Amino acid sequence: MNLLETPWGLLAIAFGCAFFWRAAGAVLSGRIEVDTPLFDWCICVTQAIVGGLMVRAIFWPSSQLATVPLTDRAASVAIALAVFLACGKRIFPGVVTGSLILAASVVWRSL
Amino acid sequence: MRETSGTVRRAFFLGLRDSLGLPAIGIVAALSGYGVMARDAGLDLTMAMLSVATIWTMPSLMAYAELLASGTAAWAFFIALLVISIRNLPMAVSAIPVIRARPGFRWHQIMLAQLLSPTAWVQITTVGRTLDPSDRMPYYLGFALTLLAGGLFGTWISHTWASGLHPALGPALLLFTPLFVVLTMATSPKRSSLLALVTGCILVPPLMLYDPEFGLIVGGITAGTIGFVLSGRERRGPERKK
Repeated sequence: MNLLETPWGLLAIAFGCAFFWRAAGAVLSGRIEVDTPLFDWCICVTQAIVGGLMVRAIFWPSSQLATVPLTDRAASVAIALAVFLACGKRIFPGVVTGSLILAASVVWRSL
Repeated sequence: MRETSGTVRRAFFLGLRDSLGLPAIGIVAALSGYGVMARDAGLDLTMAMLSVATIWTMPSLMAYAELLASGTAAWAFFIALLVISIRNLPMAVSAIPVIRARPGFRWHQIMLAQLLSPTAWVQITTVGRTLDPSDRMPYYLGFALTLLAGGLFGTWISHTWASGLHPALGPALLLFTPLFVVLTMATSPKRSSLLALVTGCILVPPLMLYDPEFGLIVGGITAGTIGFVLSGRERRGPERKK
């Protein structure tokens, strides 16, 4: 196996990427303008990639979340989103409600 | 300006005290989900803890665990993490001038940037500005180090006890963290970011089913560009009407 494709190799890549931008930010602080269209576009691509990966982690999981029926996961996410919006985009009420609904569905199905 | 009596120790403990409460609870909860996810992805406790300490932002951590679990090729992993981590640049650029006591670059500022998380960034760019400039660095260190300790604690406890968790708690934690990351990104005030998030959530997963590497990169760039272009048109729209 390619050394870079081991967990250690991938951790080194992830750390290198994170550290590179942090260090660049520290060195360039006060010297560059970050409120530019190029940065906006980069943040958009980030949002799209991370959002897509999180949807994948919920709806196409390789974890034990796969043992929960898709309908239960979808209902939990929908309720979490509804609570998040109803509470004026407050993160914790939405996340906690969605997770509790999922836990309750697991308990209910095991009865 | 908040009173810290100018002492380094007092400012440090003020930062520590401010992070205990909702910020620390949020980090412990979010990283508890990451601990279970990392364990499911095959990471041992050392790797899971080390990944938290070194990567230290939820989007990159979650991408690391998810891409590791899906067996994505190293080149696609590198491009994805490089793009995702670019969020660290504007965060450091805007936070470091607030934290440092004197203008100009010093090498230790890279270590300060390494401790930055979105929560610490919000705190230092809002509350930090109300402090005396000489108190900001110890305040920031107290706040950021407590968050890091909370993150490591959450990862450790969930990774260690994952197999002994109630059968309902594991899946709930595995839902908690991706939801936390998505909803955190959904609080962005920029319409372009929100449009890109929604487009990415719809476009990237099916494209990754077709081809994991190209789906991730091409799907991410396409969805991000769609969000960026659509919001740009919207911004220019009202100006034309004037």
